[in-house]
Amino acid sequence: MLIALAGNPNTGKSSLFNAITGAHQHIGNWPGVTVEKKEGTITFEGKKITIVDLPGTYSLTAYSLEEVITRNFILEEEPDVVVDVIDATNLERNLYLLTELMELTDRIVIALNMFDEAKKKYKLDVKKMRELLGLPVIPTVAIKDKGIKDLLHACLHGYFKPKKLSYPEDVENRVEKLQRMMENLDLKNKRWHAIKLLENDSEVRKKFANLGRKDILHEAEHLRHEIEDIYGDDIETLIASFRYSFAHGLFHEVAEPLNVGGVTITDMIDHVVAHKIFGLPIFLVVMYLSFEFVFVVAAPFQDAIDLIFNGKTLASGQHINGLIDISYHWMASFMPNWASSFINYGMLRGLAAVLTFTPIIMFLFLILSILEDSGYLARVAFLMDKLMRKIGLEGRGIISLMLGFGCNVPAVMSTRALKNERERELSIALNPLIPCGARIQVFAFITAIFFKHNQALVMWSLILLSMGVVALLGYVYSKTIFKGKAEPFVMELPPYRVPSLKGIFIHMWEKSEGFLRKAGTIIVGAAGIIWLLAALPWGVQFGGENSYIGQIAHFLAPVGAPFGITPESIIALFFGFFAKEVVIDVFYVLYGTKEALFAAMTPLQAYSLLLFILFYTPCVATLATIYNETKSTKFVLFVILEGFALALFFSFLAYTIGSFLGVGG
Amino acid sequence: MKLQTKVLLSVIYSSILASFSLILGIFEIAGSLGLHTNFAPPDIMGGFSLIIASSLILYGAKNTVKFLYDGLSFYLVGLALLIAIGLLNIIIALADLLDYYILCIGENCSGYSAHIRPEIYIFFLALLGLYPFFVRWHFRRKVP
Ligand SMILES: Nc1nc2c(ncn2[C@@H]2O[C@H](COP(=O)(O)OP(=O)(O)O)[C@@H](O)[C@H]2O)c(=O)[nH]1
Ligand SMILES: [Mg+2]
Repeated sequence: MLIALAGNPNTGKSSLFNAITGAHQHIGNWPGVTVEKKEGTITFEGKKITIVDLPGTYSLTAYSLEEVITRNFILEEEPDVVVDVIDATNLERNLYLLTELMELTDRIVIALNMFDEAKKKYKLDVKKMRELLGLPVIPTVAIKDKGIKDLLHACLHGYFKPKKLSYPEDVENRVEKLQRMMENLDLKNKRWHAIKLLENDSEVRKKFANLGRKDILHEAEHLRHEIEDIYGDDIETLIASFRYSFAHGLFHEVAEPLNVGGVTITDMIDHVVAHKIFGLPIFLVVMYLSFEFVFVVAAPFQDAIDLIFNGKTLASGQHINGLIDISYHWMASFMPNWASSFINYGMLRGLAAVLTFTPIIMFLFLILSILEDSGYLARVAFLMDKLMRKIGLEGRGIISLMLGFGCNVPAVMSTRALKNERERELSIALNPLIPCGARIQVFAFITAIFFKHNQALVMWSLILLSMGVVALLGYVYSKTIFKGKAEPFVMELPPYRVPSLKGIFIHMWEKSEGFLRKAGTIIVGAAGIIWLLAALPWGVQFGGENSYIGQIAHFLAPVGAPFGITPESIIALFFGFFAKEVVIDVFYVLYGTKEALFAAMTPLQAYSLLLFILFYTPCVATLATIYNETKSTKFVLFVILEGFALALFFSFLAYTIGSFLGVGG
Repeated sequence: MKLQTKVLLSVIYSSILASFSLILGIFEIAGSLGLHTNFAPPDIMGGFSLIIASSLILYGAKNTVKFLYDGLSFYLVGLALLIAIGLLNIIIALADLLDYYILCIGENCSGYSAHIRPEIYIFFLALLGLYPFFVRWHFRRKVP
């Protein structure tokens, strides 16, 4: 006899497996993949029973390897009994998988595991659950070996008459129609295959394509569109919502939350931060506090690093040497001046630039890791789910967008957490519109010069504008280019906890690693090139009108005029393409001092420039990441065009309106 | 003193503090829109944060007095936010001080003239409002 243990991750499958098999187990891998496979054999009531621990899954779609392994095992190996191990403390959420298992097999025994904990949370009517489901339901406590005998007994002698979920009639009709078309095919569970075909399941579609049954695929496609038309929603959302309503209904029939004892701190916090009116403002406040913290705390570190490397020129005109000056003089003692200047004021200063803005990035990732590890980001995902759905993403989409404030590179990579390909692409398309730490750094530099008294206001206007544009474009995209609705997904709400220092630093490091690598290579290289352009041709004044960089600026002057963008800024923007931080470096090379920069532009021009920097093309590293994740040159081009279109639009708008009203001129 | 009275007193105390913070927040926003006052630094997002934190406290006050978790939740999250805002301002003040001396190196600077934002006082005052948290186990889910 073969018994398979299925269930969500962390429901105690392995504990149950250990409790049943004791030492008699064998650990290997599923054929061809590195997912662990555990098998054990016991003798119970004189019968030899083999038990297999299946990978933990939340559903049985074709989106992950674990899900495919689980459903194929049940479908092909036809275990005599599938034990659905349910975490009874999270009953409702766990019931979703049950609805899917019930479509796959009739012989299911439900293990209500963690019953010890669940009893504290609600009153569970196990008998009623058995009746409603028509399946054996056995409370177990795997870690205390409780309920194991009952469970095995139910597996051997249980009564299996499952009352399955049935879909609305117009769906069921179509399922049957497809089933009839499969009549003379050698398939194990035709209803399941029919449902999966309607669901547009990639694996099952492949199977039928291999069988050469294009006719069935076409019919399924046709029927799917009919259903989507009837309900005005996409099929995945629909089918999932039917399953949810089953799980939800069942839960309310059998569980009654207890009104005794205390409420956990987690419950109390959730009551407020996930509140339908207060939740969103609280989120904004948390964001604001986080960003304020980052900028303020990073500032002294940045200034200290700047001082150490670059030294400073005092008001008296005297220059205190920094490391770079010292190194320049030392090298000049044994090599030509120009070479020492290139190495030190070109390359080394680029490196120093990288180091001065690392504090902002590190603190940003620090705070994002704290928010994530404490459990708050999960609430944000939950809270934003409804809003995010309006822009075609599920709640978790907000997390990769927020990571974008640190650096778009890890943010784009984090979209892998979104299961659905359309949502991933949409999320990637929106991500570069979130100003990353480097761009925010440039904003801080420019606003500090031009908007001394309203710096925070100007910074926030940019950040809020970017969020507004993301929301608007997300809405438009989800109706057009990335058409579709977000897949429904049960939000996991882990209890709040004080994050561990180690965890925070590991997560912080994971996120900043790629960024730092980019910084060390691209930025130093770009700084070297900028130095050469400013120093050549031989003998000109560094960064002056006759240098290459000066000539390019002169040539470009008419291009930026309608936007109030100066030629120098255009050069800065060009180099910003390699890494946004380089913009600051170029300004230093071209203008020399902050005062000169201040004199070169009106505040209106500066604001127009800020808007341009906010949106124009993401940096090389981000584009490379986007290409890696999508493998599509078209997608990369799309992102670049999107950025430029928005940048041109907003800076033109601001400059025109501003000039017309005569503000900031 | 009876437990009821103690909780009532600390809630009244926090409500007064919250009302003050609310007004401060409104004036901070007004300040950044051009209506300057002496006691409120102009700060649009800072003002917004104060308003949200104090609204939570005021919103939860009534049910906290009634020993209901519903009230206590809002009351405590509001206080926590108020404390966080105060803490942030303390950190800002310290970081500013540090930054001032770093930028001063080699220069002939006059001493640092600290300017203390009202949020810093609020931080210490808000800590005193936490009392109901410590009697949390006397609270109920619903009105019996
Ligand atoms: N309180 C309680 N904890 C359990 C029970 N069964 C498992 N656990 C705990 O739940 C966690 C996850 O268990 P595990 O067997 O690894 O789950 P799996 O991911 O489904 O294999 C472990 O920390 C177990 O100790 C139970 O019946 N009661
Ligand atoms: Mg396991």
